[in-house]
Amino acid sequence: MRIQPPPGGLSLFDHQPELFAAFNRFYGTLWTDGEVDEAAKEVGRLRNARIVDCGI
Amino acid sequence: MVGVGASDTQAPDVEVPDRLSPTFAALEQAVWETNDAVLLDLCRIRLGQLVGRDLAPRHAPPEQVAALRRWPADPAFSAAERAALDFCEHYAVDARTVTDEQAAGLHEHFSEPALAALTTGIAFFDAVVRVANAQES
Repeated sequence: MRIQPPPGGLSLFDHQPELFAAFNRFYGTLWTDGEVDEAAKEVGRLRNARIVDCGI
Repeated sequence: MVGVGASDTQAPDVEVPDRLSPTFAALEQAVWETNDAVLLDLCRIRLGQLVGRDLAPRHAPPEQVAALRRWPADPAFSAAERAALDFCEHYAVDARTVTDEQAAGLHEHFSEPALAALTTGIAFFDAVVRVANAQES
């Protein structure tokens, strides 16, 4: 890992908890609200991950 | 749809649906607050340039904005700014091309909390400029 988590943390985001919280609030809204159903969003999420070799 | 990220005198970077706007604006605010504003603005403007968008500066000084397309050779940029812009460009084109040497170079100039914030900020504005382009296509 090129950015180590802080002591007691799990990921690089634990270096910036307020930023991570803001991201999670936006991400949660993105998933649970809007005109596009969650299955379609999931297809886009997985396709993007495949393109960039992300292991999700 | 509402424009997010604009001041009273600047156009927004992207239009966001009303229901997303509050959390999007809060995320953008957190991105700015956790980063060096000039450095992040240089990355934001450069990300726009890479996809054909000419974004108005918010924090970067005019002399750096004018020289931004020549950042690898122009003396207007510090070593830390060059390392960040190099990372920014590789992230935008293909994040898999960021090398261990580049990562080590970033660690010479930035703490891990700063790198976590910078990476998130670059990811945020990379998405913003691409969505803005998609809205116009």
